[in-house]
Amino acid sequence: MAQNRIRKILKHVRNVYFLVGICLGLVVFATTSGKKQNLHVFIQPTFGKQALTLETQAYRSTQGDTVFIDVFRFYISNLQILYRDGKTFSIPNSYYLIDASDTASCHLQLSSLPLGAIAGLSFHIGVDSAKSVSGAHAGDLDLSKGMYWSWNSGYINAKLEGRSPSCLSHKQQFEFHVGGYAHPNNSLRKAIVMLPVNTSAEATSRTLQLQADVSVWFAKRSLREQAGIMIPGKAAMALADEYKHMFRLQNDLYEK
Amino acid sequence: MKNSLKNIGLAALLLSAFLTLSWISAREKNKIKHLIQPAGWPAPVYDVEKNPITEEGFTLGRMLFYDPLLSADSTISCASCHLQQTNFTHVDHALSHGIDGKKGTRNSSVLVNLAWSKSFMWDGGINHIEVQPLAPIENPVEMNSRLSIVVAKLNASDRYRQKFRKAFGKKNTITGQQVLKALSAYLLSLQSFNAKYDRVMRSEPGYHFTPAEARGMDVFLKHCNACHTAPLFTNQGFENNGLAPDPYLNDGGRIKVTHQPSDSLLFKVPTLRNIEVSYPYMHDGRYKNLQMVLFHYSSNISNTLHLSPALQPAPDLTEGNKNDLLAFLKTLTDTSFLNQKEFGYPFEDFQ
Repeated sequence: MAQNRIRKILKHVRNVYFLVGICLGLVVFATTSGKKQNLHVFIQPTFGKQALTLETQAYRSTQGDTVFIDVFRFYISNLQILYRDGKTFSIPNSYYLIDASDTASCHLQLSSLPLGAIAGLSFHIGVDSAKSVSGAHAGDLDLSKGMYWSWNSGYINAKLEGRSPSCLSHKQQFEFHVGGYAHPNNSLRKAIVMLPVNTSAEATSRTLQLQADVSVWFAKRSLREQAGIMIPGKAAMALADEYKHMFRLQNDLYEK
Repeated sequence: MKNSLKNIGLAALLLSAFLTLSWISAREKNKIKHLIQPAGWPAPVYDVEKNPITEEGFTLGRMLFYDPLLSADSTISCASCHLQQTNFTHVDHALSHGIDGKKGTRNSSVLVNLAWSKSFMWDGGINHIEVQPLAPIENPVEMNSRLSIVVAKLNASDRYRQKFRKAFGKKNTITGQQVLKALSAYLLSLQSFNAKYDRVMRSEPGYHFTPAEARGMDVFLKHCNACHTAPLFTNQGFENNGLAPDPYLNDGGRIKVTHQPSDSLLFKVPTLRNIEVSYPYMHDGRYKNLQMVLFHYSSNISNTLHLSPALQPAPDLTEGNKNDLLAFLKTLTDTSFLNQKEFGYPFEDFQ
């Protein structure tokens, strides 16, 4: 009697094994068989249309200031792929520190994206408040990257440093450190870069070359009047509103 | 056919069970240290469920806390300004000195029951304990280093690389995140809840307030508890407690962080646990002893803008009240915490 019962239970258990096995198989199938595309995003720091050369190259801003750029770094986060059919795909946990002095950091390799014609990219410039209040993080968000304020917690979303004869500051240096995650000084900004409307090609492999144009930072400001922003506040908010327009598409290369 | 499918199912299940078990055992390998939440205390702010504190992390954090390697010229450690026996503050120093004898503008904070802190520093500028150590490491008048430099120094040390592997698993290089997590594991463990006050409150046999201490507690509850709220002895808020601004230091406190005019001259309400040993007092260490502190509150309050409503009017304290209050405040001294070997200098690590 008891044996029968055990046998019955065992049979049920075996059925459960069987079902779980099928489910696992389906999951494996679903994740490996569907066709995917790879996307390589190259964010090239420029001054105007010229590739940016740090430290040694003099540039002229639209305000007439001569500038040398020493440091140019910014965070890109919450990256989303926009498709022609209106769908979007969010890259999970996407936080990238782009550093003009480190070419490797300017190349984002995104593999296994859903197929479909890509219409554009959407991303945030900076790091969201959730990551700014939850302690020490790894990877590009590691505090040793030097993009965090030690005396007033929070990430520096974007950093631009350099020299200009127009600056009245010590050593004629300018320093723009834009950050702040809390209302009313949340300097996180969204940027959208769209491909031309007539590009509808589907691809298995694609490279989008974007320019991050430093000259946009100077378009509305004279370095004689303002050579630094180092704290969250109105000035940082205004500059973030301006530099969010620094991205533009330069090239779209793809293989069908 | 049916059998072979069954077998595949069985194999898949066994595999997933194996993976789950190995994941669990990998997690269990590092012994978890638990924060203690004493009866009657609120839940800690720090979420140990999400960020478990391991024994290895704690040991490593203690070693880092006592290692001058953290400073630019390897002369200053955290312990230089945070001594255990004085509730982890810099005894007898109104303002602490960092590298090259440079002086800061504030009295070094006590480090106790930090898992209950919502913000850190006298101005509350730091929002999470894990990012707190960055401030002294990178402040030019404290350790004057960079987290990236500290990480590079640690990576050059075989002993540290071994210790980090033990605490964080087999990774090739030490990261800034690991340094900060280890330091906070140690800092979070600095819990004090065994003072005479606690033992009396828990009705432990043999512990009773003297008549003066009991009267002192009544005075405390009437005049002090609004801000220095038991059992943490702080309400975690920011207040202007009527200190005349020091024109040399010119320190606006909280306004530096919030830029709100209403936060001018507001400073964090510190805990009073172990207050007897953590002199001098106030954010700039201007008062050498508790008698001076009580004199301030009873007779010396500066009526500056945004003075704490709790001090309007100033507490009316007789000399008798003050003596009783002093007796009560001394019951907050937790000698077992101040002398706990586990928190002290790790001789074995530096041999």
